[in-house]
Amino acid sequence: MITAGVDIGSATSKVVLLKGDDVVCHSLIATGAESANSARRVMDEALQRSDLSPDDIAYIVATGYGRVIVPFAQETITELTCHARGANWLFPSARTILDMGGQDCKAIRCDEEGRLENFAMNDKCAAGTGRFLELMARVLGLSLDELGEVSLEATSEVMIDSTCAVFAKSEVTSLIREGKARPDVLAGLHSAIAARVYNLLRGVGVEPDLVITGGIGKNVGVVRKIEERVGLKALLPEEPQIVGALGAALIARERITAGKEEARW
Amino acid sequence: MIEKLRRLRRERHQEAKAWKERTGGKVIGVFCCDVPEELIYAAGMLPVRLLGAHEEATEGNLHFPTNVCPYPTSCLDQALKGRYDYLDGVIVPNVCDMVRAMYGAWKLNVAIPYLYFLEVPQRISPRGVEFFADMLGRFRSSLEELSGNSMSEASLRQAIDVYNRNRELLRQGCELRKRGLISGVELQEMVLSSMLVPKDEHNQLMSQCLEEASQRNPAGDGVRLLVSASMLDDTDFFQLIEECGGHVVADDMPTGSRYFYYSVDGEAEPLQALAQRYLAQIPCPRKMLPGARLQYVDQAMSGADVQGAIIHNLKACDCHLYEYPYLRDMLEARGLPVLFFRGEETEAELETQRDDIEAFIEMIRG
Amino acid sequence: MVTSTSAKKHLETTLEVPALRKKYYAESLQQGGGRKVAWCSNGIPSEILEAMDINAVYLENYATVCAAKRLSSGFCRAGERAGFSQDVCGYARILMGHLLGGEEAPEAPYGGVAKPDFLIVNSYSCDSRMGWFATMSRTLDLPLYVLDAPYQPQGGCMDDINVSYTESQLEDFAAFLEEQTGTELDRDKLRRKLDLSRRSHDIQVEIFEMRKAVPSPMGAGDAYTIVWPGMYMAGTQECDEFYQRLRAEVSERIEKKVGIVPEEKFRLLWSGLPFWYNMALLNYFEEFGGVVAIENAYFRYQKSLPSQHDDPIKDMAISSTMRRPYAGDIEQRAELTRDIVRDYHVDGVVLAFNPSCRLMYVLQPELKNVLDREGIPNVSIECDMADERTYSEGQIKTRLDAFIERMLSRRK
Repeated sequence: MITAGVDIGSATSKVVLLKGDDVVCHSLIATGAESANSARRVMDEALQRSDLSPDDIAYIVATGYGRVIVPFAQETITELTCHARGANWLFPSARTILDMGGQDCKAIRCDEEGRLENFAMNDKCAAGTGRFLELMARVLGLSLDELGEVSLEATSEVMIDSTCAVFAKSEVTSLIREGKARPDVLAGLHSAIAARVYNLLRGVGVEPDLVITGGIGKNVGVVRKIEERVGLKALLPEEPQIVGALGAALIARERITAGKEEARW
Repeated sequence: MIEKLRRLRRERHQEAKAWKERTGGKVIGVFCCDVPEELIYAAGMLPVRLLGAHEEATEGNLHFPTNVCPYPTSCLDQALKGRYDYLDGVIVPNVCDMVRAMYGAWKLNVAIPYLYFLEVPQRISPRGVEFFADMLGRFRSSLEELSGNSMSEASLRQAIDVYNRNRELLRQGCELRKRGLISGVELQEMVLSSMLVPKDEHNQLMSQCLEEASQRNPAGDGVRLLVSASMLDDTDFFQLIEECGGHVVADDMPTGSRYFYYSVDGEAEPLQALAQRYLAQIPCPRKMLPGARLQYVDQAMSGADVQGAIIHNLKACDCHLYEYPYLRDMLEARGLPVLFFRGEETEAELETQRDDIEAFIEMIRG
Repeated sequence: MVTSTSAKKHLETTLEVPALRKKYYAESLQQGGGRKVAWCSNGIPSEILEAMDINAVYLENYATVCAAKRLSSGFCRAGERAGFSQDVCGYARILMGHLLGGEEAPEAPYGGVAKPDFLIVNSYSCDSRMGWFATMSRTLDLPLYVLDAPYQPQGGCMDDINVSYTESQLEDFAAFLEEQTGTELDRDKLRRKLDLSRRSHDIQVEIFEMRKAVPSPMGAGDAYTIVWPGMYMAGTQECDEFYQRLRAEVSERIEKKVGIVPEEKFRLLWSGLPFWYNMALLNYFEEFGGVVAIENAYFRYQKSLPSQHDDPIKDMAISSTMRRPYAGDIEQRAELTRDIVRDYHVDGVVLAFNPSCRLMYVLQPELKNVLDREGIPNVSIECDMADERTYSEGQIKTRLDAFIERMLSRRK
């Protein structure tokens, strides 16, 4: 029996196909301007890759900010609940999840069964989001993927005062103009982000183990700074961007296993 | 001399602790201009103004939203970080929504032996002055109990005299500032340090400063500015203005002229006199209605030959924001260009403000 | 943008309010008979104004009407154009927009509000209204009376000095009204009005008590509407009778175990002001078996004191120093919240952060800290209570959906 989780985010759309305890496959595409059809596209890609057809999927749960526009989903669940479930399934010791996505940042607490206990979201400003780092990467003339590694070359850290993207851009620009080394500036930026997300985490309280999900989880520089702040080693999924879709697929499986109506909580 | 005052401000925590060791006395933190410090002084204790710090309020932000006036959040933040551990008490007057909320947060989260909420009427009237005098009577009794010292009428009058002397000296400083013998930054160091050190000591320091300053030659050609601010905790903003070629010759702010412009009536019964001065003669927009307050700003500018005005309001300060259009209109009607800043109390904003101030000053220079 | 608006009403009596409100505004526009018009802030005791036959227009309510009729954007823009920062109270911006007009300002609901002869504001609720009323006073060039009373974070102490000051201010207020109207305050009439408003207040307290019942006989969706007569028509026969009918209906529902939803799965407390342009949020949870059983914004839990003095002004001074709804620091708010959670069998709290209602806004994070420490589930949503441009459907719904998911999956 195969279930699917579809996560339509602002930047990327993801699908996870789950059979029993195995992830059959996952797919990830840029959501693009037309989020309405990105669900169809990312699902098609997953089906193609796994050589399956839509009829093979027993139950589909949609999540993410675009969850309401997935016409073929049986149910919608918020990404908060899905991330809790997904992260806890990957790491049963997970109790705190930090999801740093394209447009927002979430701190999530779950219990030992991956049930959502508490959450705090920062979706009012760009600090700690992919958007922010994209902007900074451009300013520094680097690609998003390079940021982490480059920051590790830092010999000293430049203090960045602002995490507001508006201020930070001009601050970083003038620092580079002054001749500060890029790794050092990056290290400072990553520190500033870590400080910001630490505050978000404190809003829900940090209980080990901590899992970091979302695209920024691949930035080793930010991860390290966060670990320093929090005082914990973070558990990192191999594919940090699909944890939401995974959680959705797991919930879909629960629905089928327990019988749809009963399992509705 | 100014360096000495600056150091007293920068190292205020160490200074307060040293005073405690020296004298065995108690240090009492005070918010805003509404608290009659004379009562604390007369009880043999040291009143110190609580000032914000230009740093991210990582602890404070766990208790307050971020888009409110940052000043009380910053103070709470410092307390939570332990910087104010030496305080033996804190007085919070009934000033505004944020300060009142901070009283509650302080009570819940900071271990402090003495936290006093001073009731202050929110309307200026003769009956209000009477009521406030009653409240000050209660406050006095409480301070006597805390300090273990009783406050005679004579000691209260003496305290008032010392404070009035300080106000007079600061007003003289104001005059010297108008004449270009003292810079805006220097006067601000004088005011801020006055809020932090024992008043009698500060009187001596002030006399020396003014003596020195009166020997100088007037400073050159800075563009003459009025600064009206809701709260400036240090001299960074004025420093910036001076670096851009401005000379602050008049001000309207709690850490400026509002603190010392009016004296306490030395003849009247002390509590009545304190109530009158502290309720009716602090031009804070929370209590004082726009008509009277704008008159005050006008007075503060007289003889200063102001060429332009900079208004700096901390974000989300309702009290100042509502009055802003009137203040701006009044200043513009006098032919003064106005520059407005919405402050956040961060280091970073100073750099972005620099460009605006430079352009503003250039524009006035013509 | 906002898709749905009004709250679903579950009670019959609630449906009477719109007509009452319409009549109130229509009557207020009729300036015949020489009735003076006073623009008031919430908290100005209507009994005195009624006793002097003054036409009292409570502006904050008008702002909520504008917001509910989906007109806030235009009015706010008009207000901001006149120089009022987006930081300031949404009500103030709406009213200033209405007052100053201009091309941004939409057509005013009910034909607008009657032009004032003078303004009255109380000083002890929030900073914003002082600034706002002073602004209007200047713009209209009309007298402004500031009614002051002690703040008392101790939550009201019956203390001679405080009572004496409160009394002096009420006397001064009465003198101001006498001067403005050219008539003398009829103290007997005032006493009768106070008796009536005491009674309808006590009925409201009873109704609040009754709402502890499971299943919930009346939720916040109705509550925010039925609060209206008590706030703006206190001291009238109509108001009294309205609450009697409401009490009877609530009583009947409890007897018959009629709830708001077929099966109550979770009960919520709404902390803070609702979003007036989207009251339907209060019903949002019903689809999932959730009810907003209680709200804390206009919570009445203390019965009236019996008359404390023959002189009604002195009576008011004594009673009001004992009861101040917005006084009390965070500790008191937290205690009240804990009590509500316990007594109303609340499973979770919705913390509505309204940035421009700074008075409430500043307390919410600390209230959240208290709830977290005590393990009471809560969710925070943030937007202006009156300015609908701040509402982000996606963000709000995501938080509420996640919270609903949490409520439904919790261990019982």
